[in-house]
Amino acid sequence: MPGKVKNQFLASIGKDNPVFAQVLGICSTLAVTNVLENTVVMCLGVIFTLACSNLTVSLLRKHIPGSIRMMVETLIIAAYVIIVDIVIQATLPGISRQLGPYVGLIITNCIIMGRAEAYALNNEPLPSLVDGIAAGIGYSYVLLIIAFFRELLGSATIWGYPIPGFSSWWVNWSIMVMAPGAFFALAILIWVIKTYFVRDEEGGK
Amino acid sequence: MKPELIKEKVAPVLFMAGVTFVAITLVGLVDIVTKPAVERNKTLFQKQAVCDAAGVERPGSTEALIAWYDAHVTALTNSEGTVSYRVAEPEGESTLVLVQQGPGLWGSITAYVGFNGEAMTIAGVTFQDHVETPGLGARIDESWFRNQFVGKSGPFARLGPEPQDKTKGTRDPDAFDQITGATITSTAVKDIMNKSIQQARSLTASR
Repeated sequence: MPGKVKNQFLASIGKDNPVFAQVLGICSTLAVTNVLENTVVMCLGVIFTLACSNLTVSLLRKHIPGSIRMMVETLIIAAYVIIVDIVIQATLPGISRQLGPYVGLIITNCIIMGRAEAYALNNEPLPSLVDGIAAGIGYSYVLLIIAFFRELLGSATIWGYPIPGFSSWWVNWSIMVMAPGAFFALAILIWVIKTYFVRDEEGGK
Repeated sequence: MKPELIKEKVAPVLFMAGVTFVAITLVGLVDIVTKPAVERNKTLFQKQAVCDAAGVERPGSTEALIAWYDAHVTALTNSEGTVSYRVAEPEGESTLVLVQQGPGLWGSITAYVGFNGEAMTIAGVTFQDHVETPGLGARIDESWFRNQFVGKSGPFARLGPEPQDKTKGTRDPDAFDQITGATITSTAVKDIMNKSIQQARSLTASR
């Protein structure tokens, strides 16, 4: 069992990565990656929600009636997301104001529903929890890479701080902080990762 | 009732009701536990906004901010229910802080604009609530943008380009530098500022 869990964990981070392999959860990838700080909070929220929703769905999997399973999953996900939103409002009010409606939109992140449907409904609680965390980490590092480059090129800052020797002469690329910049950054990242890091298993190309 | 009917129709409804009850209870509990902190953050933001708009250097700690606020600020409500603040200065002068709302790109922007005593020059501006695009319109929170209004008295008719060197913006009394890529937000700020200036002038004229 630990071997299977480990493989699942590595797959979610590598070849089955939710963002660059399955291309899920793209709306938040576009929306929150123009500033690194917001992205980190968003990623933590998604990891927490994924882990908790996978665990809960897995614990209830033998009792959930098949006809309403998606309603139940959405309800569980929504409850955790609202909790994340309230906790951020209470503990990180500045970031909560910047993220605005995006935290609530974690509910519609397809990765969370996808993992609940594809994995948690058919597996034991512990592997499901690990799968949720792995999918969250897989999502997060892709977002962080994109956010790093978007903030660097779009605002000439990292974590809101100017970079000595760079910020003074760099002309900000406004397109990088707008949604099209996220498309370009994501497409380039997928291209680089698929070319150099993930061997194409479909073959023939 | 047939057993299949119970299994297919009644059980799912009961199950859904049960899960909903548990989820609501959980969310409700977290809400109750965090409510005091959320409320405290809200009032702190409002106090910070008044402090920034009055052009006063923000006290270092939360306690110092509350103490400063309690000692210097009076909230005023007019007959229409609009709240403004009078901030007393040590020299006997006072600053009027108006709360003004206007439409931004994605939602309304709430600005706190401070006006110095008799001269009616702008003492400070801060944008308390907005949902502008992070990295673009949301840059109205940056200090160079807010500080360029200080000392001017408006009204503003023109917007200048965003300066590369933030210390060398436009000095024209009827203009301010906008944010590149955020024309709608910058224009919304111009309208909010002009509305505040008009309101402040009519308030002093009626006194």
